[in-house]
Amino acid sequence: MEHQADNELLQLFKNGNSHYAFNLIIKKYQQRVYTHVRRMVIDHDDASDLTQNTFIKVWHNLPKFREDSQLFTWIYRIATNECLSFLKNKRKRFFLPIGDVEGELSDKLAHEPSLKGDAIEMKLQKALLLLPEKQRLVFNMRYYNEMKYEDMSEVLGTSVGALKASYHHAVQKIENYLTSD
Amino acid sequence: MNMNQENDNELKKNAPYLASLEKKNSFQAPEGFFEDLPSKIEDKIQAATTEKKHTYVSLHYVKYAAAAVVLLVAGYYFYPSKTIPQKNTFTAWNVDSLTDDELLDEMSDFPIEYETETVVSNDDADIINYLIDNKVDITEINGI
Repeated sequence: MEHQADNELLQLFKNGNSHYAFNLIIKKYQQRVYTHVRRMVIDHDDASDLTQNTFIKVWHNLPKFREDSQLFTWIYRIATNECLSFLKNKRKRFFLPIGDVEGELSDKLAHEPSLKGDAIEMKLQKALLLLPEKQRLVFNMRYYNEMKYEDMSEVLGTSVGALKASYHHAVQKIENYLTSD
Repeated sequence: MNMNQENDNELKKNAPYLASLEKKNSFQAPEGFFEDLPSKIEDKIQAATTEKKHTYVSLHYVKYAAAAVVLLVAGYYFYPSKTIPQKNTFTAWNVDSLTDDELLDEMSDFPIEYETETVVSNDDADIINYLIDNKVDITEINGI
């Protein structure tokens, strides 16, 4: 499906066709946002809620969007914050230490139909859950989404150098986990 | 060298096993999910806007109700609730028509203020002067 350029969508939004433009923005980015969120929270229902919340926030804040950053990285930033808040609240609500949240996510992985019968992929996903949340974000954005470090820097508000180091560490940890018995 | 190549080379160098794996999207959304998502989001936005309007309307009325309550309470405390006692005035007509007993009864309802002269000084000379001026025999008082 051919999508309009971001600047055209923003122009459309500003010219009074806000609902139509917003609908096109959702259609353009929903899959990427959902996948990004889903990799972080694993569960489909949670990912669906967080994706919806992300776009609701986009709708409310789009009139204030000053185009200092790209629309795509701005939406990604909102989605990332939604994920981090969700995981933080989960921990707070159940007074869980970090390991227990990851344990819960790991249980969800075990029930994921698409991973059944794929031991290597399951091991990779389990290895990812052992990473600290922000490192997991960095890994996902670079490895799966193939984002530039500069764009990741806009999303995460971290320097390119720090992101490169974080990705390097994440890759090392995963490699060690995958190659260990 | 493009970004993907750069990333691949980086991976091959640092994590050859990971680099050999096929990248999969293991987390597929249920079928039809993305067709329905835009309308779900629009509905939520619409519902939130309507709810906000209702909340605003109810708060609008609550504001006036609260103001009315404050005024009522304030009115209760500050309005002069004690009726001003009507002065019992004797008119020429009713005074004339009253008998002496009735007149005495009426008068007993009035507080009668007596003008009293008080001796404000404790000085002995002043007291003696006062008694002399009022022709009081000092020797009688002293029992002399």
